[in-house]
Amino acid sequence: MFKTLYITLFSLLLSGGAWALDCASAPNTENFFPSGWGIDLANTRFVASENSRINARNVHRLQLKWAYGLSTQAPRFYPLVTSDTFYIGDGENGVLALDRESGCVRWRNQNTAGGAASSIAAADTGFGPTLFFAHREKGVFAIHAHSGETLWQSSISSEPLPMYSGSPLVADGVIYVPISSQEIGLSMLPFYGCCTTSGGMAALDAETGKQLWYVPTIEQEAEVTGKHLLFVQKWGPSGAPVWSAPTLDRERGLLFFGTGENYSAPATDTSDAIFALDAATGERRWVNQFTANDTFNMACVTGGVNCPEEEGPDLDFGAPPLLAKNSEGRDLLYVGQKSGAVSALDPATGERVWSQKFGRGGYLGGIHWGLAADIQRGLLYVPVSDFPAGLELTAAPTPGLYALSLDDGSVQWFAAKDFSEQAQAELGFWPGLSAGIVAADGVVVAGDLAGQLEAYDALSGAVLWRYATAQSFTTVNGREAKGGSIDSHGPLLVDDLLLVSSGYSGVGMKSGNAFLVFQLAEPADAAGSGAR
Amino acid sequence: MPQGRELGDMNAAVWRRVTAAAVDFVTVPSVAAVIMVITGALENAEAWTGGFPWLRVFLLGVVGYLMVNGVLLWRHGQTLGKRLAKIKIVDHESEQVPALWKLIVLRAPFFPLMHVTLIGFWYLLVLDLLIGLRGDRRCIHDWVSGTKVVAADDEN
Repeated sequence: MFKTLYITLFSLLLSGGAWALDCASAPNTENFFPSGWGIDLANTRFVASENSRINARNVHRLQLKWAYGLSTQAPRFYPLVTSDTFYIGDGENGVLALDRESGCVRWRNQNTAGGAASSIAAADTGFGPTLFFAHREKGVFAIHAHSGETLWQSSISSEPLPMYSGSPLVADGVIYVPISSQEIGLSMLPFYGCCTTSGGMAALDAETGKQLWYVPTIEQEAEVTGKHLLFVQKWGPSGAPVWSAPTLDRERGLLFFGTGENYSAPATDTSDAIFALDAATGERRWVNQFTANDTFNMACVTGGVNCPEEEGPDLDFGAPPLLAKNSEGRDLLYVGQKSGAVSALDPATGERVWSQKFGRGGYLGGIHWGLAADIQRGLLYVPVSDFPAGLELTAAPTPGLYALSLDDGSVQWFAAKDFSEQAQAELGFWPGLSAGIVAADGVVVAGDLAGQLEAYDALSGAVLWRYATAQSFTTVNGREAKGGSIDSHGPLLVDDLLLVSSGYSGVGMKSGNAFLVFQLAEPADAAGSGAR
Repeated sequence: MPQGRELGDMNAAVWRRVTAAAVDFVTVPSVAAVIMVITGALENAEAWTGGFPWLRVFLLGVVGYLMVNGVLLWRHGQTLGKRLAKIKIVDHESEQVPALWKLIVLRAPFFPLMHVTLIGFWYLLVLDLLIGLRGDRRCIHDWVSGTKVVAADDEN
């Protein structure tokens, strides 16, 4: 007995306690949830009652179940859930399968260390149940859901410096992969000749990772446009990156996605735009640009020589397009931009049906990461950050959550965020809503940049539940964990659970490394089976 | 190869070695940066494919080092910093200017240690220098190349 105790203690010392709760085992993979970043292929971010028992009547009973200390201060994964497992991306530890009850580690895939930067999706392949996700630099990975074994890894050969910062969408044996570019960061180097690469969208075979097609968002080749430091050549056009999840319209066979700004002049008519491609061939069907002449790169933030002469406002589409029916049963494509503009488009033609603007907008939104919709209630939920960063900040910010009519964009309610100096002093940060949000039966859950996680009543906007995540947590894996800004992909609702990562140092937000699991404290009501 | 003058065994003062190192620390990367800008070695996307272009940065450093110090090392056993600080490298046994290949192949590879401190490997430099606290003031790079650093007279 003493020998066992000694070995256990020695193992704990060697591991630093970080892997003290390993429970090597194969997850149950009968059902996976959600299908990807947007909960469904239309990116509605709405969790139906058969998938979550959390609603407006019981959300106040959510309590912290356990916390896990991540190895990164900028977590950027969206979890995948089965009946007994959470799949997460844990920074330098790679992708992990955590036991749903205890948080102990079933397996980990360290080939993927350092960059699991997307939602994790699943599909059946010839290998069996397979997980797919994007590694920021290495490309798309397929790993076995049972064992964590790497099945294949695929990167795009069409661009020299691809950055896989968007979440892939998996459907019908195809993986649609958003492509951004590392040139956004290289532009900060004064000796770098900015910029030549284009954003794009790729389609891969889910069985092999083989590239089926690739479509750049800029078709013309970059050319020399000038010089700086006597010798360094400037190039353009470039940019129009894609860093958000695409949306699939199975009925029309179309794939929709949004683009960001041009990195260098000349500007193109494909930046800050919504694209529609033929999902089977990649053929371009329509493009609708919302902000023209938007040339911007990170040199504009650091005062570098690569900042374009006519610096643009950097008004990307970071929020994936959302496909939903209005009250008349008409399909509309809802898009939200960093400018704060929300528009409804005809998915067949891209023509604008209505458009509204909320908030001040800026480099970091405006609308940053994502919308949600409740078709039954006819509501589109729009989180607005209005973080003070951007070219023109003269207008008053209006951060908070808006509920709009899916029919015409009229405001049904607005839950304003208190961004007074006193509130910011108490919270320690700007409380804007930057992260993606999630909606369920009568409830909308959103996390703010100050780390507050809130559940709103879907019909009134009243706050039904609030939890401050910017604090220290005792964790199941022994690693010290602290919450921070809730940003990027935001919360997930599943069964009687709410999952969220807190902390995001990615773009100067409040860093943190907490993965938090909340659960309804009492037995859930009769709605929903919860079986998964 | 030109032979250096015979010298006494007076080791170079520490402050002179520090001054020389500081001058070399700045001048070599500066010249390498100018070469980089002129040649465009890190200017385009292809250079950065596959992550940080370590090999290109290393080669730029080698070229910069040789441009600044090559002739001085060959003729006088000095880098630019050592020449300004009036010290020189000599063979530990013969006290002559060492063979150029020893200075380039055995001694120069230690030069980047000063710069890797900037990316977190400070302890490698400390390890090299700690050895030099002994009586003969010879650091690891002196031992490896069979050299020592001594005061130079005005004719250098």
